[in-house]
Amino acid sequence: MTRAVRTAVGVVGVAAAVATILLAGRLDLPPIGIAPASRTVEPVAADQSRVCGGALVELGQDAAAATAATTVGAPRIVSGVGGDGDAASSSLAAPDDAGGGAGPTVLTAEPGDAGSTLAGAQTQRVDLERLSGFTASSCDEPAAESWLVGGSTDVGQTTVLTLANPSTVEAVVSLEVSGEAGLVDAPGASGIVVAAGSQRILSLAGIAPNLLTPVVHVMSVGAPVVAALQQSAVRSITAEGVEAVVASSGPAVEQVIPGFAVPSSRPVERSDGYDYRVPGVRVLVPGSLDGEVTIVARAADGSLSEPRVVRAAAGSVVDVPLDDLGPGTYDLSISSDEPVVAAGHSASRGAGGDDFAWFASTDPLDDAVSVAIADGPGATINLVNTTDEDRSVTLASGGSSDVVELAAGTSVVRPVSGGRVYGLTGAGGLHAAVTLIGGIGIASYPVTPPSAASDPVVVRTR
Amino acid sequence: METRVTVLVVAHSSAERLRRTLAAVSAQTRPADRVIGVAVDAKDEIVRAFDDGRVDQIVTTSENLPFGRAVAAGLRIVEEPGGEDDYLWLLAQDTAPEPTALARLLAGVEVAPSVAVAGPKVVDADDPRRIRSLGETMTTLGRTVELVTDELDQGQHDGETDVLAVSPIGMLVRASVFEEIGGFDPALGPVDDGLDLGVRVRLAGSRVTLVPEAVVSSAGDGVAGAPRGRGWGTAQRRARLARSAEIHRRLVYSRAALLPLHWLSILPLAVARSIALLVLKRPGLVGSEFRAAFRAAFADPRVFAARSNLAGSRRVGWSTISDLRMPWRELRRRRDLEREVSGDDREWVERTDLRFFGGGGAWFVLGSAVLGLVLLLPLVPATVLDGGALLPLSRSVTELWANVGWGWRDVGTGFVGASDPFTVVVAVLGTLTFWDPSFSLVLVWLVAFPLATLGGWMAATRLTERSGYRIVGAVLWTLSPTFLAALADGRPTAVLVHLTLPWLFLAGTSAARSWASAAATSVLLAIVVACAPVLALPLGVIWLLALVSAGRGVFRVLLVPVPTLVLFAPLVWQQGIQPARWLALLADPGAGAATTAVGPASILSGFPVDRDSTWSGLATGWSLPADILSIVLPVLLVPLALLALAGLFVRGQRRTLVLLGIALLGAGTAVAAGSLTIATLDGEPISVWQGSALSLYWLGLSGAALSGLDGLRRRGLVPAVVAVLGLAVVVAPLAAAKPLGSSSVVAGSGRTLPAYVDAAASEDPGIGTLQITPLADGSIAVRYLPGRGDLLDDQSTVRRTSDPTGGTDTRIAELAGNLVSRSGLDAAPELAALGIDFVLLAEEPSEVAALDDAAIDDAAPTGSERGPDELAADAVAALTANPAVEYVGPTDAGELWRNVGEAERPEQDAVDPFWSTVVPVAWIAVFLIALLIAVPTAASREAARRRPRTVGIRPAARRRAAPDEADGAIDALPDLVEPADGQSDPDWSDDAPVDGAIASDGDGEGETPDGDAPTVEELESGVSADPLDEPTSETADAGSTDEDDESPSRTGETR
Repeated sequence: MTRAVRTAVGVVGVAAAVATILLAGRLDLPPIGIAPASRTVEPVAADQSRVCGGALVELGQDAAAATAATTVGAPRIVSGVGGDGDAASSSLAAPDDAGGGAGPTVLTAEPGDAGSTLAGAQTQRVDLERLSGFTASSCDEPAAESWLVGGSTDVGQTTVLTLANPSTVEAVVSLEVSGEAGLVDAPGASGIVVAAGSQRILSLAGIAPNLLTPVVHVMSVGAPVVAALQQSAVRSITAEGVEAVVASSGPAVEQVIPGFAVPSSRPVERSDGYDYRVPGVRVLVPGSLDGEVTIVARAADGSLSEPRVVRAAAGSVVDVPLDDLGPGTYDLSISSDEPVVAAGHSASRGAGGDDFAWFASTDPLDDAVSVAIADGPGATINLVNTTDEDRSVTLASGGSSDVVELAAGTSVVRPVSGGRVYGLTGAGGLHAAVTLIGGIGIASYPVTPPSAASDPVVVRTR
Repeated sequence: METRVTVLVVAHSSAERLRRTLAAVSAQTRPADRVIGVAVDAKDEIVRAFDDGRVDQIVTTSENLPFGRAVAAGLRIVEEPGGEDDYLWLLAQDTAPEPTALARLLAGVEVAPSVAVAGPKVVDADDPRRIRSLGETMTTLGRTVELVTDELDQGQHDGETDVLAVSPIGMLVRASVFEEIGGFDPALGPVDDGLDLGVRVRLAGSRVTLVPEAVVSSAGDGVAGAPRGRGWGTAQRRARLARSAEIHRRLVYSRAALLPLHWLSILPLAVARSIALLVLKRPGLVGSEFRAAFRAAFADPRVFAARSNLAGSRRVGWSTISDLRMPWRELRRRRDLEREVSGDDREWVERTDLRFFGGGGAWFVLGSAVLGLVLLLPLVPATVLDGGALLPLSRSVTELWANVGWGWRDVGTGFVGASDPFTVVVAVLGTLTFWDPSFSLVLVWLVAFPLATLGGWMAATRLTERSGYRIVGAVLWTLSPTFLAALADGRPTAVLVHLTLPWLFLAGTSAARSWASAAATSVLLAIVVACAPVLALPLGVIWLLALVSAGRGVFRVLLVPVPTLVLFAPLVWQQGIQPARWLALLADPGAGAATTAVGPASILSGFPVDRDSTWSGLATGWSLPADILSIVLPVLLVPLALLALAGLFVRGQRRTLVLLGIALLGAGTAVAAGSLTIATLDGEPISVWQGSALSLYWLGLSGAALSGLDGLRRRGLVPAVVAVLGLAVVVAPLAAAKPLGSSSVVAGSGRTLPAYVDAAASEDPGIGTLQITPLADGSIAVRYLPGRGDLLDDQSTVRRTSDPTGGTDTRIAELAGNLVSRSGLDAAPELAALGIDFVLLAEEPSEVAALDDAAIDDAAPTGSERGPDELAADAVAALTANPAVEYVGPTDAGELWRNVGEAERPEQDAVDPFWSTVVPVAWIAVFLIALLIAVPTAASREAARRRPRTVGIRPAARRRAAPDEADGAIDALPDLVEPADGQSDPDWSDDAPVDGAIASDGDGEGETPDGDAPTVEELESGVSADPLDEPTSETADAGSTDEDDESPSRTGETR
């Protein structure tokens, strides 16, 4: 090989190498091979289940056992599947009930589609020496976590926590009780065992005494539970009402409380300090960052109140009085820069004595939900359209139906007949609550969508 | 009575030679009395040749008879032998006697009536100075011994007359004795017929004598006497005939009582002799061995006839000939002498010393070991490694090997089929540390640096004789980005590939010329391809090119892939042939690991991970300009590339071209591997790891650089140092990944499942765990883990590449989907039926989660709003609420639930016992054979010493330096600063002027045994060899070079 040939070969080689490098930058091979296969699993729908709060509880009925809980009377339960189906019902054991009552009712129904969700509500009116008033509450789905905003363990206040476990698995419940001064160190608040198919009744005072404004965060490991508070008040020797506090929506920067009713006849108009009878909103910022909370009430006619801006310290419960609101039904919108939980409260004075009510914040609804209207006076269904589009919602019950038009950003109060179950369609994204006001008292409960855990799951087995 | 000589000429083919023979017969000084031509199965031209040669009588047979029977056929037309003075002179077509031959032979027989047979000196027809046969005998054990083979005739044997037997070529035999002993044994072909005749003549009381003055030439056609020639077929035929004849004779000569024993020993002996043949690098003769054994044992009906014939003619005892037999010890002595003088002197190139210690290689390996330990210091106390694709191994060697072969694969829900070939590698590794198999991987990591340095150094010896540049090669190989990335990312397969490739190069470059190298290459190839099946593509191309250019070594090269093919055969059947998923064969074996394909910039820099991000992770604090890394890093690598290209302009251009071609193949494979997404990991498609292909790329690139450096000689010193330093800077973050915290390899706990499950699995290995991992895209990954969960020896590409939507997988998916959701499904029966004892809710490893971002397109959008955290929370809620499982608690691997009920053990599919036996037996057989051939022997080492160490360039004729002459071994590049030696002299290249080459050759002292400096022509024709065209230059090699050149185990050959 001569030197010239060798040089030529070398130059060609270098040129090829340079070409390779230049080409490599432009090379774009399409991916070859398999696409990851997956399988979408539709979980087998579970039977629908709702647990009603059960009969009202009186503590210390027997003087010999001051902390013993005794159920009083029996609630009236309204239940149904969709607009026109019936639910099966059974009772849970209530080992803590010294009175040996029947235990809370569990409603069950076959798994259903969107139009046939199970709904239930209960009402009870008592008129005892130390426990009187009117209460209404929804029958709720068990949940692993719930926020109960309400109750009090101050002097004259009795708050009972009920934990119902309708499943076949034991539940271990831990509580985080926050008060006006922050998180309460409560030794008895964890490891509360709720046996399968039973209900526990606990006095909140035994866990966190002397709290004006508690918020209870219920966490259950094992089975999900239905947690609720029952608050009753006695001033000197007069019973001042009773109400069940059901779970509010979980922490969020936007909370909506529909159907917040300020009765025309109230026990007190305003107060210097905290008074549960003054209309107000209880707010907790559960995180570790303080939040600036803005509360705006919108009347049924669409007029907005002056925004209340409150600085809420992280972990400390704040009660914001809304004593400037005139009588009427409002929807409250609570916005914050940090996630908050909230519930409203107000009190009424009527022929049947004083009574108060808690208004839980609600979750946005699915497109079709069932709403059980508790058997009581002056029932209204309150719909709030927080979305930015107009909606028309059909309320159907027993063959008749009613269409409600909601413009974007408005709310509607629609009187409904108690003791019936309505099927709502077209309600996706709306918030709703049922409020009952009458001479015998005031009560409200939120309309909650069925839990969404049964979404299809995409499963990859490689 | 008058002496009568009858000449019998047996011919089968080759009329030309026959004419010459007949002419020689008629030119005898003592003319023959009668000439009989025997044409066996011959064409007309043979008969015509006989006619022309004025043969008295012609006998033709249509059958192709062996010499003995042809002679017998010729004698049938002869009347009864007249008496004592009747002689037969036996010739064949190719045996031309010298004019005086008959006269001298007759003189030899006529001296005494006891002499019945006289044999001439048989010389080569082409080279009458070479003796081909001069008497035969046998050892005390009956083995044939040619008293003289292939020796230059200097009259040294002319005094010998008394021999046991002579070759049938040109044999003069007394006709009466011939008649009396029954002639040749018809069972013996061209081999041993003369020996047998001689033995029987001796036992009949007559004598056999040698008449060296009588000369008959032989062309070695194989009509009479063993066929000669170097052809593959001839050698095999000769071996088969020799062995067959030997067994036949043994059966004939043995005592009747021992006959059954001899018969029974035939096949076992064949096996033993075959093993010996393999070790002696003569695998081609194994077939002949068995054919001969079977033929002798089952198809030799003439044994009894021969025995009775012998018994009938025997007059004296065996002891009379014992003096003429050769003792075994004498035979060995003769062989040793032969080996020393054998070999083609012309082609001797004395191999230079390895100079591993003297040249500083050892110091660099030592330094590399220290560096490796320092860089991986946190792993030193580890007993098992974790992270990346690293997994623990089974706890015992038995379990390790149980996962190898064809059978029930207990991976996932299990299947019957082939194990990945990589499991064999893992099993071998684990067996090395049999007390704790998992520890073997720790060892691999800790010694990876010195092993890579050693491998690089050894491979460099193929490219350069200069110690300094060999060290450069070792450093380049150790600092390979892909090697360091594999160590940092925990990829055992890639590390093993990188550690094995240099040895594959070392052995592969001499595979065409040596059986031992070919065998070593085949085993190393199997290891490499088992570790990185994707390398089968480029290595296959290289193999094809090698095959085309292998010349005489083509058969050796052809056989190189056999162990690999056998190893992969079950997998090919299961993955390729049956479901036609050929691509799936290329999937990376071992554990799946998050793999992201990198772009061409990284690939060309040799990085299987993003080149710039290895630095940008470090440089965050320095606020570098954004693009500076993508400019600085390539610039630092430019010197290396320039050196590689420089090789195109200096000595060794062709081998540089070949090496750059290998680099191109490697880079191309890396690009292809990056777009090859065959397997999925937790629902993410993962590409084939590009690093293994980049190891090949690096081999080509650094090899080309070394070739260039070698060509540049001392001028390359500074560029070499610059290139190495540049590379060192570029790879620094990868090398220091462990101290910098960017390595994913950590000391592991030895288990992949929670301790609770692990303990349960120790009690009952049959337990199953359902591992559910919520993924970033809102889906869940579900895996069924039997027993202790993921083990490195228990992974399967069959499983990882298979369609996940069938059968049990569907049931598991359904179950898992329901378990993580609020569901009405009663999970208990399904948990039991699927054999699930535990449900583990795991978190997605962060590196896998990172793949989500890189995913090109998600083939199955989940449509779920839930992220992994919400999914996990829902799953926890659903699982705790599920009465079928009981919460155990949080573990290091995730939240654990226990099946409340009793899980059944799912039936394992039946395994065909035939295949589960055949597969391992075939593997063992093939690898045993390969290893036997690879074992170096004294002869193969001797042959290796006559080969140049380097390939692709003419060997350096250099003065041999005494070891202590190499100055300070600590000196990094001793050779480069050494004063001029043979190599450093003036230009000396492929096309260097003749006088230049001679001048430098003249410097070499004692490079050939006789001190002759080879001429340029000899160098050109002989030993110079490119990797590709080297075998063609082998054509001049003697057949005796079927010998080892270099096998990896021979690193001990250091001075």
